Amino acid sequence: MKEIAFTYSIEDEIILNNIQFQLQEGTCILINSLENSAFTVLGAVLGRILPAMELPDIESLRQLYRDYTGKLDFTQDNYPNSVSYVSSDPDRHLMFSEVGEELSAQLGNHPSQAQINTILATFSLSESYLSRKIETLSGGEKMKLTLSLAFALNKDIIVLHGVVPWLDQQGRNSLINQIKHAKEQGKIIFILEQEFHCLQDVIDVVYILHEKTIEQVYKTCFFSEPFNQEIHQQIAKLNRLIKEKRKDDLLLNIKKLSFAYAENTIYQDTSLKLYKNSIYCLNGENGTGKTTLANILFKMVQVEKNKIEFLDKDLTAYSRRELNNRIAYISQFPENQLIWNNIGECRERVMAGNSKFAKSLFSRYFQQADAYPLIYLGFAEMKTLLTIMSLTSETVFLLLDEPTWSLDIESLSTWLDLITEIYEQMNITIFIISHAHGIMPLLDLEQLIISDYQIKKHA
Amino acid sequence: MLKNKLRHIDLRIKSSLLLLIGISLFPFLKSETYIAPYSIYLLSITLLLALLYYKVSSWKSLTFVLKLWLIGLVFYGIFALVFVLNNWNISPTIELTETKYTILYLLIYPIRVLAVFFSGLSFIEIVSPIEFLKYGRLGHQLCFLMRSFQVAKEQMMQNKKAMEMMGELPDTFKSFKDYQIFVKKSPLIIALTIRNLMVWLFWAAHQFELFKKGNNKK
Repeated sequence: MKEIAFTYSIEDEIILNNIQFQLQEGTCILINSLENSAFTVLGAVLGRILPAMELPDIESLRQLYRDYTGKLDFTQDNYPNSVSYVSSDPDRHLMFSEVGEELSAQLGNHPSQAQINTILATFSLSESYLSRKIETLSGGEKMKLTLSLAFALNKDIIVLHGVVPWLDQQGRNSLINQIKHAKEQGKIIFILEQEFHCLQDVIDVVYILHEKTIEQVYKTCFFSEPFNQEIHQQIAKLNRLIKEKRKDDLLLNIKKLSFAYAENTIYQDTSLKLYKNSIYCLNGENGTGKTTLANILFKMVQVEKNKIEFLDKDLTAYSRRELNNRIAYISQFPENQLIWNNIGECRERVMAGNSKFAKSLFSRYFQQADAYPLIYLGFAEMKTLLTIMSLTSETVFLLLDEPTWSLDIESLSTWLDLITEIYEQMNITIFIISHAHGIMPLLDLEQLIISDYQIKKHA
Repeated sequence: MLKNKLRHIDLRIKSSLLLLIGISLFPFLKSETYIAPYSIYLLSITLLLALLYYKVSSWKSLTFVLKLWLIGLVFYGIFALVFVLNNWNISPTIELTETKYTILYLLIYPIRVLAVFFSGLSFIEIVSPIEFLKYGRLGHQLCFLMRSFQVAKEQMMQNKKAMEMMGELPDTFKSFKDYQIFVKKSPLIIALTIRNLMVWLFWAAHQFELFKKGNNKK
């Protein structure tokens, strides 16, 4: 048993105060917290990434990276240097063009083909991936590759921060197996995570980061009640609303639609009817075509005429502008959709729009000064901002791609509040694309699943 | 596949070819009589490089580069017109006596830029960052630079797609207005790419540093 204790401060401001861990070989430690800079810093310190030594002498970059330039003081330094760190963005860890190159370069010492195949197989990636370009992989596939590398590097400590939301069920099972295997080898695994429910069996110790300090909690208590009373009340309110709303008018009718990317079949004669004022949740494994549905609805890819009716009119007859007025889409990665610089520009846009409801939501949720840069917003705030900004007076369909992805308990509560209010105040159908873990099973949504190229109702 | 064949050529040969193309794009023109033959050469090599880029990339990427270049050309054209109309001599080395030579000389610049685009982008398509690793510290830096470029390209495509879905960018070019919107919003795509790249850069640079240290130990 080793003990570590450290403090991390930036310009005399303490960010992490006397963080202590008992390190016992073969244990898996879960750390939960609100998503804030202290949590990010904690993961990166444990991952031996921070503090950063050198930074470019550019003021805007210094401001952006301020949290990473702190001072780390170990009062008890038994922390090994041999650490594998995986953050919530797999692109940060992949350095080369192709999967095969990535594996051989990062593993070093010219690994054999058999070794490479074995490593890929740990996260169910087949040999055919070796020649795939990194940029053609989906986010989930990139994360699987990053994780397979992290476990293969044979380090004493493995730090995983926000990796679970990327993984489908198969990926999550693989992660659990890898953690079990690593524990058997005496490794220590730190998991900093919001979507921790699926890891219950492999976690030994649970810590919670409260602002600057860390506290150990009983695992059984922590897992028995993952959501607080407020969240349960919000769920109950939304479920009540779902029951009350009338849902017999057809919004979207997909009739025997077939679609493929080159030779990769996505949908085969699939049919689906969505009704007004309903809430749906679509789930399925990585790469089965969940997001493709959004691409089809926004005519980003071409489909045959008379296969999709939206509001009793063929989808191909709509212009993009007409679709944007009726369908609000919030992608999984909000930073690509945030095309404004600061809150002021967003405020101006919302106030110039035709939705009084969006204006009132914006005023309540975003009270920052006009000059506040969007880049400083947290992930959840970005999604909230986009959701509000995408609402018009004509919006009848709200399409949310992984909306609860990596949300901490506070952000989850904010999201539930926002969705409930939108659903209550507008005549709107909400369609959630999600891996359907965490909170989703608790909501009385119409569950849909994609499998075998079909979208089906899920029992 | 041409791309695969080119990828397997040694990096030194590929870099030398790139250098040679680069030199041939920037020759020293002694007098205006060389402008016409050079223009023909430049146009031919640009077409060949465009074909190469199409072969190693895709039709979509080719047209995207052409669109971006056309936007730049519009702005450049305004400046060039001022030079032509005022009959200003724009070359520091050649005395341009006739307007046709001035026009031709002015046309060389954007075509040269396009040739640089195509040669650089084709090079990136057929070279992997891993090939630089054996060239020490500089190799590692080049490797990181190249990966940054790839991430920037990926980010740019994602931003463009998001903007198209949001109706901020036209996905088809049926009217003059579509081109107008594309011209107006293009700087935004670049700005967003830089913004998102900045967030990525810090972490990736650190990861790369760790990889370099690990590599040195091996």
